[in-house]
Amino acid sequence: MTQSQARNPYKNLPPEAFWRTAVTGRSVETIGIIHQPKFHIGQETTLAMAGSCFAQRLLRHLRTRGFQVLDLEPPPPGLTPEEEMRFGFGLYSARHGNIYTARQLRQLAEEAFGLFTPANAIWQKADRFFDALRPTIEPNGLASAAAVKDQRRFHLRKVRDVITQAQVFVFTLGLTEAWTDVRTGTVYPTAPGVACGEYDPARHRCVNFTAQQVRDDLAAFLALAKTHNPSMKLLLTVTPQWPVATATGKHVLVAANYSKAVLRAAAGQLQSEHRDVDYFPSYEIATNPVAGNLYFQPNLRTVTDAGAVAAIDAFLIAYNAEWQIPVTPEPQPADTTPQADAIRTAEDVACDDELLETYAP
Amino acid sequence: MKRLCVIGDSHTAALRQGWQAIKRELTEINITFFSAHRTRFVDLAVCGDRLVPQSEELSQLLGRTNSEPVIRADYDRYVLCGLDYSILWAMGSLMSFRSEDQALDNRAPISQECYLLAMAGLLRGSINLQVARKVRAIADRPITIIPAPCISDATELKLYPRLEKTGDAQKIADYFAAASDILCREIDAEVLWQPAETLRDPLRTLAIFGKDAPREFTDAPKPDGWKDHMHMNGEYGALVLRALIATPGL
Repeated sequence: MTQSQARNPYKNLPPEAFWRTAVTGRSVETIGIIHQPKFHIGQETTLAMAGSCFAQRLLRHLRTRGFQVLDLEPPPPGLTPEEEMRFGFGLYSARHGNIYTARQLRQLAEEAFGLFTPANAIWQKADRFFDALRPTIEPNGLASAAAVKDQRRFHLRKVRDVITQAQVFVFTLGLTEAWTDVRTGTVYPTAPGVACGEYDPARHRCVNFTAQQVRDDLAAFLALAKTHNPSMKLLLTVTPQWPVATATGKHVLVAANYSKAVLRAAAGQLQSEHRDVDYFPSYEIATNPVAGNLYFQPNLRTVTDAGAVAAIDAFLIAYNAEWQIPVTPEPQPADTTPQADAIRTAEDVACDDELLETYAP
Repeated sequence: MKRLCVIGDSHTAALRQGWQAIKRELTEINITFFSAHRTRFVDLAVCGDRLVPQSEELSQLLGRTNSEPVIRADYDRYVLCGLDYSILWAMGSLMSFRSEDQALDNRAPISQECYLLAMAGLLRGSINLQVARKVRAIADRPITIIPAPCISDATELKLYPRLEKTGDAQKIADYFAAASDILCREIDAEVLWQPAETLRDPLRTLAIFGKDAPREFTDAPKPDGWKDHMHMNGEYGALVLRALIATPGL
């Protein structure tokens, strides 16, 4: 028996199991079809979305394509799209702003259901007061601490509603690094002193969560959500966007790759443990070697619209068998009206971590 | 002789009736009224130095009381009446929201800044402001916005006594005024506020001014028992016009 005739476990595997046929031999247009989903998502499915700023783009694309994404804290009428975004409306299913870490998601859910009370939850800047757990949703703060508490009570009610109503909760994992209150472990979405608040080295510390911690936080979130919504499914993604900065003391590229590996591993582990948890590879689609840097803006950090569209098209093809990618329309002359400018501006996303760019040398 | 051009919706009826009562005293003032259902004003287009109806329906409505249904650029002042510009419309649109300084209840709490931006945005999109921008495109003469009157206190809605009791009524009125200031700066206009003597509180008009309110358009049938708490009578219209004529420049 020759070596080529010998039995081996790779012999009858399909083309997608081999790098040469599945990656080297694929075009950027087809590389995205790489996912076998665990469940179906239809236009009638009630989706909830949360996560880092890449999730905002997924949400917008899903809404544009007619999918039902909960919005339980809608904006007041009269705001422009730009103002809506500035005040944190429409970005996610509730007005919680970006949720970068699994701990932050768990913390929010536990707070919403009365199992957690955050410490030092109100930050100040001059005479204005901010919700430390979503410091950018009121960009100029509120007039009193009482007003912040009042807004938060309302918000937590809506978070409960989101968790209890969602059929599929889509969470985009963003970071492993987070700033915490050392005494209580309360996690903040931004470092104190960046948007508001005051950094106190004795009180605030940067933590870098491990894969086990991320997995445990996601599992805790899932368990809590399922006590209130037993049929809810959890769909995890990892943002393909790279972080703005690291506070680990390591080179940002090293720290960022560690972070992606941790998030990917934790998501993969939870997916393998739970029938109702799936992982969608938006990170892999945007960063795949066939695409090179095609899906990244010149800063090599932010995903382009084409990257977001590639991810969402792959998402829809995977989760919705009936979905067909619309034919690309003929290019139209650029619309330069003020209204079009406003819409284009609103196509941007609100990323709290970009505030850190201000501190780059 | 000062020539005024009043452009408005059903609320123009009170002004027209009021004008009939006082015009003999005011011989130096001439008023031309152009009224139509507010939604029809989307068909009013800027054509050179005139505003011209682009639909037969608007043309007929504007032509009811004028020899030609065209608004020219040579009036001394343009007065825009109602056309969705009202505290009632603005607060109704924001009914599910409260600014942080309003009383705690089930409405969604937002910052004062956000509430003001929303109210200004709503009013900016009103038919009144749309027409104002068209007027501004043909004329640099003064523009006065007359908001539709506050609802009559004959209304049985329990909301209004509650808002008055909590102090929210005054706050909402203050937001309306602040939003109006923003918009007036944008289009170089001014607002003529509802005369104080017609108000019961910041959000309600005394019922006496709603008694026997004239109808500008009679083509819309109303259900049995329907009570009009929105429109005011000629006495109200006369008070508003006197206040208008007392403003500088007239």
